Amino acid sequence: MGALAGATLRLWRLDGERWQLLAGSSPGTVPRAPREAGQEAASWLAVPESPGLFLEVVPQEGKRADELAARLLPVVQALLDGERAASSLTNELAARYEEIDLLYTMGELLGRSHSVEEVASVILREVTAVVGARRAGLRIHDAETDLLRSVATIGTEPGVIPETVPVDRTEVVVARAFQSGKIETGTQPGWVPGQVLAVPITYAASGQPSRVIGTLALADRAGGGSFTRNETKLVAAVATQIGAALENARLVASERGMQRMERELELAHDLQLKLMPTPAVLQGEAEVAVQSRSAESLGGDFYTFSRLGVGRIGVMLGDVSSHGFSAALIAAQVMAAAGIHANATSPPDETLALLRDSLADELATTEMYLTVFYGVLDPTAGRLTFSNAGHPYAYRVPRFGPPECLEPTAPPLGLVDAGRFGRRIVPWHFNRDLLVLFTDGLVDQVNAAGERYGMARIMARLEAGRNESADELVASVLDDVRAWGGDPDDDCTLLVLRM
Amino acid sequence: MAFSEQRDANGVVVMAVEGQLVVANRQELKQLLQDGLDRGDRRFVLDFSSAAYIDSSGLGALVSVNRKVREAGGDLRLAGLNEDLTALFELTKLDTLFTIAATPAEALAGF
Repeated sequence: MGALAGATLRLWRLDGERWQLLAGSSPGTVPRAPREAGQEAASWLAVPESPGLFLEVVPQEGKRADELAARLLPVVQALLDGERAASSLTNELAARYEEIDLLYTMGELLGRSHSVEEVASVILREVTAVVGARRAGLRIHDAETDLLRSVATIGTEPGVIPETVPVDRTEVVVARAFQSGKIETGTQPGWVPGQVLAVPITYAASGQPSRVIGTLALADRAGGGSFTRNETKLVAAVATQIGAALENARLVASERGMQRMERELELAHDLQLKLMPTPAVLQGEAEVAVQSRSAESLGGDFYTFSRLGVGRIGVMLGDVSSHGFSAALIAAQVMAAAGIHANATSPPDETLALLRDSLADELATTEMYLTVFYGVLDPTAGRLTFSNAGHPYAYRVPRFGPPECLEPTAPPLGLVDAGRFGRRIVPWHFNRDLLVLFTDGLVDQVNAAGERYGMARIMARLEAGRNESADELVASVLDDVRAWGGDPDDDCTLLVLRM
Repeated sequence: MAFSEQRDANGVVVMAVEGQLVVANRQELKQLLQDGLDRGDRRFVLDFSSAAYIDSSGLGALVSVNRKVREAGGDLRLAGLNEDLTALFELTKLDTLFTIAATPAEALAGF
């Protein structure tokens, strides 16, 4: 442009004390020049609206610098304006690209399985970088306690900001944003400097209305002042994605927890089965078959056998009220206690009394009770001695004639604190009579029509199969029950013993 | 592996981008640079000599890492951009945001 005008042009920037040549050929030395607008010599002009920029005009001989400068200045100014606009657009474009980057990062978080804390800290890092905030915090709503719990923070010292914020503390900006479901701004003196921008994080499960699951708060804007409209809009736009990413992470964690729990329950189920003795324990003394199924992974049915010497054997079977984990624990305790108390010298009623004493506290605190049958078969004396604490399903099935119910001699354990258990002695035809014990899951199994399997069917099956082996009889009864109503709705155990 | 990392005698980290910088690998580049910053590295050259394409997510990642490096007081330079990539940076005016050198050697010489 200088050549066109027949002059030498130089564009200078005054950077503090130093002159910097931006455009034009170097004069070799730094010239004497004005320091402020308004002090220009004829050949030096401060460029309007560009602080620190000066145009130096060295005209050809015979030309006036000031006239030339006055003509050139608007052109230079227009050029600089154009450059500034381009630069501003570039910055704008760069900001959009950063937003794209943020959105991709959110998308990636959605597609992977991280812990909630990991997701939260990546979100905070990315959002604060794009928006330009020095401090930030992400909280998730804990529905049980109604608190907003901090899961990630940036830029804050531990202990300055409380870990939890009650949602009704409306003087806290994030609590307000949670309550209103809208973006809230304000200050939080003592917690963070400057303006706080709090955005509700929402999540809408498929087909469900959107709900607020937490809050994202930004503070201490890098450029100072309040967050701009664009910054606020951007954070609001990613809030739903943040919600989905967090919810995704939470569901994955919860699913993993469930899987772990299921594995542990399977282990507990195996362990419970191992606690029950195998029929082989009585090999040579008696022919026993037993099958036990739980409605859940863990059941409340239990049984045990013991050799009591001189050919005698003890058989115990019972049912803890309810099923599941707590019932299984009680059942395990009964088995352990039975192992100690069922011995050669104690008659069945004393054994049950000792059992009651050792379980009294546990049964009282859990408000559970249990029915239990305990019988001692003595082939030498030709009799069965038994005590029955409220267990309705104990029978002697003779080779001929109807089955005999070995009725309860006392109420279930855990319903009364003291009292005698009572015992009965029944003559036993060894090799001919069957001892059949089972639990209510068998009787109560219902079919598709809601009809119970019932005692009559069980009795008919037992009578029809009384000459079969114990194994065959157990299998045939259980097959029939399963054909009736499928897998048991309740814990279900059947024990058949021939001695 | 889309990125290979080397360090020159002066401790400048040179990361070569192979093939393309796109959605699928942008996060890896960001992580590599973040790891470098965490280790205390501050001078980086991204060598695009073997790269043919950068998509919008890749540009976003570059803008983002450039800012992170600058905020940490560091310097990130791009080098070896082919004709198309150079045009992309010029068209978007992003060439004004980055220090761009013709070759990695030139970028390293400038430090």
